[in-house]
Amino acid sequence: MAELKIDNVYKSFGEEHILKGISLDVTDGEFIILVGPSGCGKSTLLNCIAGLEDVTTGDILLGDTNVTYEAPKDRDIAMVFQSYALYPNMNVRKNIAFGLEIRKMPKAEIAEEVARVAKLLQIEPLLDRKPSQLSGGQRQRVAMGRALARRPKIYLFDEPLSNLDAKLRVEMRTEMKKLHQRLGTTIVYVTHDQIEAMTLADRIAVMKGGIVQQFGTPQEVYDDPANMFVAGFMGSPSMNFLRCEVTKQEKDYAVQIESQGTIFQLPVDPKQADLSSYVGKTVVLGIRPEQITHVMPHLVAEQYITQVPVKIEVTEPTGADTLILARINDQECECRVHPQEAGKVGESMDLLFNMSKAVFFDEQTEARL
Amino acid sequence: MAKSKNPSYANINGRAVLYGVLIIVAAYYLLPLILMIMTSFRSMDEIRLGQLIEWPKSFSLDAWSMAWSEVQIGAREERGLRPYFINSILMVIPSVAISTILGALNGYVLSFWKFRGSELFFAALLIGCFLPFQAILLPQSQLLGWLGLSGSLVGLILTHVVYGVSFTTLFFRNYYVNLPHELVKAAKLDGAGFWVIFFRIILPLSAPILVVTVIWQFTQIWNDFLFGVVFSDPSTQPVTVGLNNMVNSSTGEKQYNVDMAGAIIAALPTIVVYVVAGKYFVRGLTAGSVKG
Repeated sequence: MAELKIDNVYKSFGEEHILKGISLDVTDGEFIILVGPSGCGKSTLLNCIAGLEDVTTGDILLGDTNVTYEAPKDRDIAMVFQSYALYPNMNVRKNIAFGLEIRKMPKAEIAEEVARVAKLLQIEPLLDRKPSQLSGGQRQRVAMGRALARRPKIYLFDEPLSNLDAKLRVEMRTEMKKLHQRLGTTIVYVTHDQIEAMTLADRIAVMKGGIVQQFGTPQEVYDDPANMFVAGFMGSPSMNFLRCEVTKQEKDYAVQIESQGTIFQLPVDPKQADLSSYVGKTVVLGIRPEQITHVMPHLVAEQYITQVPVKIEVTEPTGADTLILARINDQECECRVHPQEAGKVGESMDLLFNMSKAVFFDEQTEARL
Repeated sequence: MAKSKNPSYANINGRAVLYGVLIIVAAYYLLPLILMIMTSFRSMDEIRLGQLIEWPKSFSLDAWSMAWSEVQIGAREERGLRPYFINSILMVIPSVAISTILGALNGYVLSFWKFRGSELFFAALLIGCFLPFQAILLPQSQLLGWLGLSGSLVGLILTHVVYGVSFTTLFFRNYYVNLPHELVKAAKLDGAGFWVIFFRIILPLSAPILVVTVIWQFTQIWNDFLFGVVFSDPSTQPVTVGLNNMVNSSTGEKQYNVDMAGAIIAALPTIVVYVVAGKYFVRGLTAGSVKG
């Protein structure tokens, strides 16, 4: 186990720049998730950490040693691949033991280690099978077993759950979290699934275009996004972005919205943003669907809550909630209401806009205000 | 396709035509072989009296032992095809082994350890597949002369290895590019180096393409006549050259039965290789074309 420090890493393939100055500090035992859309460089970064790709410039430090120019085998890193990459010609036992044999561990210790890992992952009955005789979930476990057996300094996971079906993925997610809590190892985990990122990570690095957009705890990234990309990428259904004009009220500021021909002023919490220089200009209001709900009497009188009637365009029941697509400022806006409160398509319905967690972005730069 | 319970007449007729054509084609290819085998069992007296194409009236293996160890070929002391056959075996085994191993290594490097210019290197190597035998005769004999290998078995082996490496590399490289690259990455992280990955991970997965390459190289090298006749001297000539010398001997009577037996002897190893490993050959050729 060790700390991992990535210092200003650039990676280019010819003229194509994949990583543009990545810096991350990972503390010992932390579960870090790199998340972002395809092509954002997250897998390249993982390969650079593993040593499977050389960095163009920058440094990678593992503990106190600079491993930037060390071969993968000297870095003491284990990786679980998306395709699992189990050796097809070896049975499960051999797959797990391979790395230990290469490192010339005595036979008895290898057997002990394989037994320990097999017990940990509950794959003891599978030890004599070939990978082709295993199901997707079992292969996934074996791949993890292979990584665990060596007790390396850090673990890398490259979209390990993306080949599993939805139900199994949720199960394995929980198991992975339990495993991390038990072992307390440093993990860097790549995924494009923001739910996986939210549920598993101690801290999330949201990447786009070879740049870390934000590096923070799941709650920070969710509540306090650095820019419109992060705000839109994290959360499902994603955050509503409404372009609206800033107006000056008696002492505070507000943003102006229009619904069914009526104008409403939504008060801005000064803790969330200082919009003094934007009066009369347009900003992007970011408000999550769960902040727009059906009318709950005990909330109506709160300071930053405004009751707005909207026209229902589409309803999407998810079971726990019903999502309502409304039209605000002639833009689509998704709202989350209790299934029993949801109106019918075409009807008008009163909704509460809770501005206490609303965020604001510059229209041009998409940066947070 | 699911079998229908009541096949229509059109279906049956279609099948009949298909099988009819296949039988005719198979017969067309098999008849010469059958004729050769039959003739090799007849005696010369019988052939002289009757037609060349006729059922044997008696059965004798004399022609086979003649061809194998008794017939006088050229001015050699040792008689029969046996010494030539042994030469061929001594030539083909190292040639096939070395060219296959080199091809596997080349393919491994070109697929998993790419270096600057490796694609160009591969392209250049492929030109070797299109070089006709005749084109390299003169330069190769010059080279063998410089190396002091003219007329030796080693020189012949070297020629076959060099000529074969283009093909074997192509086979292995095209097979390996379809293996998942993450296997090699995983092995690197497990601490394995170049040779360990090759011998413990890649080579055990290469069985189908190994069979294809070995059959291909064996057939090519065993059946080769041109290199055999140019780069050998009388003591190192392979069986193809021996057969040619035997059949073309112009003294005395033409012994058709001995010629036929000799031709079969010369072709036997390739037939055996196909019969033993033929199904792997087809399987190996199509491996990787279908995913799953």
